[in-house]
Amino acid sequence: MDIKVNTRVLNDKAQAVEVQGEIDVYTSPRVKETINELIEKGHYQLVINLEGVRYIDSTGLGVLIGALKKVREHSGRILLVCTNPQIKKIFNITGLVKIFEIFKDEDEALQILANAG
Amino acid sequence: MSDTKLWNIQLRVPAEPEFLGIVRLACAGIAHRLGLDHEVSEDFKLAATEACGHLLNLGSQEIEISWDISSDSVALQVTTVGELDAELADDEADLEWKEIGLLLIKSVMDEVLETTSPPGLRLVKKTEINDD
Repeated sequence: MDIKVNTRVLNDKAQAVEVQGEIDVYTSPRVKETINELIEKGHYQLVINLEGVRYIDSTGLGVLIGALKKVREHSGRILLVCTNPQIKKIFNITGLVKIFEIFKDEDEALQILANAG
Repeated sequence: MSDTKLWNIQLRVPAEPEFLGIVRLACAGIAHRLGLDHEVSEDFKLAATEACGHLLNLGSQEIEISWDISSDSVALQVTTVGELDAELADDEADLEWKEIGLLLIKSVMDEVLETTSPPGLRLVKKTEINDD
């Protein structure tokens, strides 16, 4: 399976989900499972790092949207880290750039969470 | 510039999600052979993957991808192969994300035509191809 999904603690509130590889209809269940496990454990502030993602399709976008809906039920947030122009292009085409908060690195995302208290 | 047919390339894969990566590799290889730039190559990978994903749940055993390469365009024909098996079909496949997939395809290709017999999509990208 051409996907790696790792999680780590960023601070006492936020968890990072680091994805590497290609997110498509075959690999997206693995991403979904990892994110859902975090949410079920009560982690509602997630920084999803897509810097290692070479490709994402509509099913991958569906996983991210599904996760966003779940954390928002708990007043949580999902912040994406992404600088790959091809990936950002897909967020632009679908209009998801208006729904997701997208940052250039994890430090910038963490700063936003810190400022929000 | 006249539209001169240059090559046809065909790939047939099992209609299973794990083979979509091979379709993307083929797209990248063909785009490299044609001298297309990285962004156009990525557009083909996206369109081909979404088109295959569109057909995965229809109940076919295989999917065929055909590249018709002309001097001024590349046309991808993505179709199911053979009879559709109702027992393999998944009527509950997420229609909302199928629509998003179609939106992505239409955004990166110049022409998109849904075909019915066999079920599939014909996708055309206008781009100049040198045959040397």
